[in-house]
Amino acid sequence: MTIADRQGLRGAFGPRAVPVGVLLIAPAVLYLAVFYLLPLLDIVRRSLVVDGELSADNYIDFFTTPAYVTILLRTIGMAVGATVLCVLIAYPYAYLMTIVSNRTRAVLLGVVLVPFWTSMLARTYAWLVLLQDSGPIKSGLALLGVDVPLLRTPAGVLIGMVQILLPFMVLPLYNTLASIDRRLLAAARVLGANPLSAFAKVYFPLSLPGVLSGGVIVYVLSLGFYVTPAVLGSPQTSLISQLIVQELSQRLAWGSAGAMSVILIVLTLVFLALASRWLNIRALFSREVIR
Amino acid sequence: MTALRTGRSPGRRRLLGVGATLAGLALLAGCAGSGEPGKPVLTTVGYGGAVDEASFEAIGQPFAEAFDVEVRPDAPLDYSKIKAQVESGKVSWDVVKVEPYWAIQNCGTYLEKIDQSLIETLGELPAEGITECGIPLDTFGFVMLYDHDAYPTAPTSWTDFFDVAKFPGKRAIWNFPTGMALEAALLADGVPVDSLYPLDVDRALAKLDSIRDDLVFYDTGAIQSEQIESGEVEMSIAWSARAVDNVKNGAPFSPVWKDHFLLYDTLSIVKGSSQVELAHQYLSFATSVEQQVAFAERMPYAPANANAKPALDDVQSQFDLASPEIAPQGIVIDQQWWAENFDAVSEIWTKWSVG
Repeated sequence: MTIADRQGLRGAFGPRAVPVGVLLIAPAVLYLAVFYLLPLLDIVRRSLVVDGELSADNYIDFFTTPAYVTILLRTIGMAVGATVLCVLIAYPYAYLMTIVSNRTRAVLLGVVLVPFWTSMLARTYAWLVLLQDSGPIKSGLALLGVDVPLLRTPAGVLIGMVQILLPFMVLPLYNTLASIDRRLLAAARVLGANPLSAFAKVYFPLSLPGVLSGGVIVYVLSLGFYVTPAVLGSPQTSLISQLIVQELSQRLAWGSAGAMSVILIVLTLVFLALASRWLNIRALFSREVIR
Repeated sequence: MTALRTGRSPGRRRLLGVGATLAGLALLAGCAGSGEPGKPVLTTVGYGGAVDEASFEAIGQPFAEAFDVEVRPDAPLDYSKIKAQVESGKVSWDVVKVEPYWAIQNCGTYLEKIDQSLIETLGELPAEGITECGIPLDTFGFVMLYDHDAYPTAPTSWTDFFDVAKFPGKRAIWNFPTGMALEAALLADGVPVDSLYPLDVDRALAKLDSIRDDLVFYDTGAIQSEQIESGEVEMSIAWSARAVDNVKNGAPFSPVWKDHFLLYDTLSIVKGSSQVELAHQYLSFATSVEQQVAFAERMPYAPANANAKPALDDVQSQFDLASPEIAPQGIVIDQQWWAENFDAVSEIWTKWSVG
């Protein structure tokens, strides 16, 4: 919309009328304010009030309790692990999607999307069946002479998380890869590059925005994962969201649970702020920018 | 750009359409279910699953017919929701099934004090299960369950549960401070039954640490069952009525009826409930002989009412907490101690379990 258009619209409603754009987003903003922002502020308030007085005790308790800090670091570690694994699996997959026929591409896309539309709970319980000691994966590995515990280990939790998060990596990555002009590779070859360096110096840098945007989504979603680690993991693999639920429901310690939630939100925002130095965050939500 | 063409395909749109229709129907159903006009509504809350279904069939439905009211079951029980309802003054739950320590701990703050003169069955209920804010509904047992195919000689005590050399294999415990792992550890460590409480938590955790590599935790009853039926564990500190289902489903597990732990599942009334009087009537009704028998036959937790004599099938009898062979072996959990110490022990437990 040009400035002239906008002024024209405003003119139609009189000089003091509210711009149409504001009216259009007002319901969404109002909804978010009432059902998201206000409760969030209440969580912050509760985390800062102990026995009716302003206090940072909940935060001090958190950072001075080694078990809690361990969980926080574990949450970050698992999120990084899930993100790296998603990139490693999704990159070749998305690349394959760009070079196959339309029909094959539709199949490949379907393979990603069908699980995406299936309930996360159902998929997590499916993993429980697959990973258990009497399950097919363990039996398969046993045939090869390998015996590693999967269920209730970090590896088992990561397997479940990665499968659930893969679509969030494949889709943005495919978007980016599909927009890369493959003639650039041909040009690199003509100019003397071997296939590997053509990929490393031309294709890969162009694909980075997709890797980063997919990575940010996967990482941020991982930080808040609850169901998968709860079902596939053990207390020793528990993540911060599980700790928050325990504080909330078992001990009714809402101040402490609130502080943990605020710490998680702040960490996520700090990460997004850092990520935005290398990446236009808006690119996550609009396709044009990823080019 | 060719990206995501499938995302806009008619197939997707049809799927969305179906979803929207289903959502609409669900909304309509929600409206339809919101009660016949004029009838008082009593909302009862349990932990969900088969227990709640049994309780609604045995108690909720007959109560609704007898008193011409609507009984609306809700689940799962979540203590934080009770707290939220009471603190906001918008109480939508009336009768809740809680753990007895919680009924003691939160009596008067989140739970109504019960007018015992309105409970007609009071004389038939066990005195140690009645508290200012709670009436016992049934006996709940934590029992050692073991895989009888795995061990040629059967384990007989908590000492055996902690003896991984003699009885190798994974042991399941509830990831919850009152899941009886602490009590079991102390008994295995040589603490006599009559001096179990006050619990020496550090000593108990040290004992648990001695078999840490063989411990598997469960968070919910469903996962507990899964571990037993899939063969993930060889032993479990299991919920006795769940175990009945596990055995009926073919799990090769047997109970050890020696020093098992008992508590009374407790019915309480949420503070500020708009149906306090009706809720008292429900408590009376739920603990009357007929309802107690009906409930125990569906869900084999022993009735709290001593006059209720349910007819049990073979497997149920094997887990009948009230039977003369089993009942004397049990240890009643000290709920007063737990009410006073739950918060502190819960914090210690969390820090221990996640490490």
